[in-house]
Amino acid sequence: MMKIPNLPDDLESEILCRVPAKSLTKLKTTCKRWHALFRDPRFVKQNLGKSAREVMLLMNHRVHSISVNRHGIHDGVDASMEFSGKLIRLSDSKDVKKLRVAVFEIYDFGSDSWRVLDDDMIWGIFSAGVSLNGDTFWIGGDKETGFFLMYFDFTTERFGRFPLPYQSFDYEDIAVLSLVREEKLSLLNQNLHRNSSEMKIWVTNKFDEAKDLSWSQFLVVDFDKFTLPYVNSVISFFLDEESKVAVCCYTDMEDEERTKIYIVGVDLYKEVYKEVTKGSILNWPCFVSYAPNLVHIQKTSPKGKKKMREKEVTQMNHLSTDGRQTWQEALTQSDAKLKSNAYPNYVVE
Amino acid sequence: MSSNKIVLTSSDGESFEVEEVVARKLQIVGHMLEDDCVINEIPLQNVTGDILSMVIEYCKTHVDEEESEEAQTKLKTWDEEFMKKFDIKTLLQIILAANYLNVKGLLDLVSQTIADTIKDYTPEQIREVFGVENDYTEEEEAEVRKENAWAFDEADTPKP
Repeated sequence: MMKIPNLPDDLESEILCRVPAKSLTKLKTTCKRWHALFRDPRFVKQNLGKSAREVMLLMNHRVHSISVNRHGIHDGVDASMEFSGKLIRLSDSKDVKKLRVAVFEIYDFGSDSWRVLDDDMIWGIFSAGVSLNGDTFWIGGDKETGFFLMYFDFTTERFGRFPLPYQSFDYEDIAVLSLVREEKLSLLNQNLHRNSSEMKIWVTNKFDEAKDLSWSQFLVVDFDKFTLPYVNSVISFFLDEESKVAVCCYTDMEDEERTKIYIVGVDLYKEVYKEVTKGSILNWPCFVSYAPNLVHIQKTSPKGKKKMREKEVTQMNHLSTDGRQTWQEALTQSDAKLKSNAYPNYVVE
Repeated sequence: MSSNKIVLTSSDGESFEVEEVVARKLQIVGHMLEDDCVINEIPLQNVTGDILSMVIEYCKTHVDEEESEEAQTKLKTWDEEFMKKFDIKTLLQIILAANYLNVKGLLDLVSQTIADTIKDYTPEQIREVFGVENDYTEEEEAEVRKENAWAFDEADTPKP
């Protein structure tokens, strides 16, 4: 029988930082030294760097933590989707930070104020934004160039443009952006107007600066194969690179605006979720990828309100890769706060 | 490639003859060879023969790390199978050895395997494995549990 060795502290934290944040939170009761270790900023950062991404679904003003089982879907195993988390209602929309499209304003947490950005806005925004490497990306468009990838660099406070892998300025050309493991962008394109039943998805390279990005085709799906009665436009999606599939959600206009989710690949179409009750056209479902982590968010107390007790909020924190993003939305009825940089400005007036 | 043989000797006197390229995967050996290139027998004080044989098995498999996707997938599968052979106590012995012998790839692999194994352990099980003492009073422990109640609470997940 081998004796159980005592690990040196550095090896111990090398192991522990690879344990998911939720498990670590339970393990705080192991001993006081560990409790302190799990709050150490260096450890928190290491843990965040190693944590696996999970997916939330924002739907009908609620946040659901979901997991889609995609194992073996190519081998005929039925894909399934589970709602694994608690439900949390989003705070009343009057508290939500809004982005006005006529003028861009930027919120500074330091000074707790909005500032108008100096930019001549002669183009429109045609998608929800996603954030990566401290930049936020949208699909922009104007009459001269058609659609393009537009980004905002929070450091220089400048907008930039980058071509899409296709050329179009057709309003029926649906373009949706999504993140791939906080490393790359992906773009989904559908044109339902031209009765085209193709969906194309591209993925970028890993890039540090937006100007260095390049597109490569990830998936082309011909929906004719699946003999569906009709095809709706995708509202939000995320990719599974390994299985070469996309998980897409949409609001079914032909079926009482129910939200539906399906998994699609070259030879695969499988609905995994259908809203039970009648849906709403105002519901704008959205997948958000996040990394459960131990980051301690200090709740700021709004002026004139009673100071809230500081609580550890672990399950739904979401930090951008370099912390430059400053969007934060309070979730009520819960200790949880959602700091989502994948979803910074979905309210477009 | 050099086919020079090196003999590695464990703390309990077991000897292993391996090719130099394999021995060099142990960075501790690599450094010794750089300092003095005529060594061909190296005593390793802090590792026993049974653990050293496992480290050598890992190094032999990882001796030519090919870039190709196919080779990488094959290695990954081998790693997974290799790790399945060991219980938590052996894994802890291996991580200590990988640290002492400075085998980066194995250190990462074993750290991850241990992390995956302990993530569903209770604090009691963890204390036993890591040899740590519970220094909370009952009240303190209850308070920590209360503060982090969400992590302990798995019950009733409402469906949308």
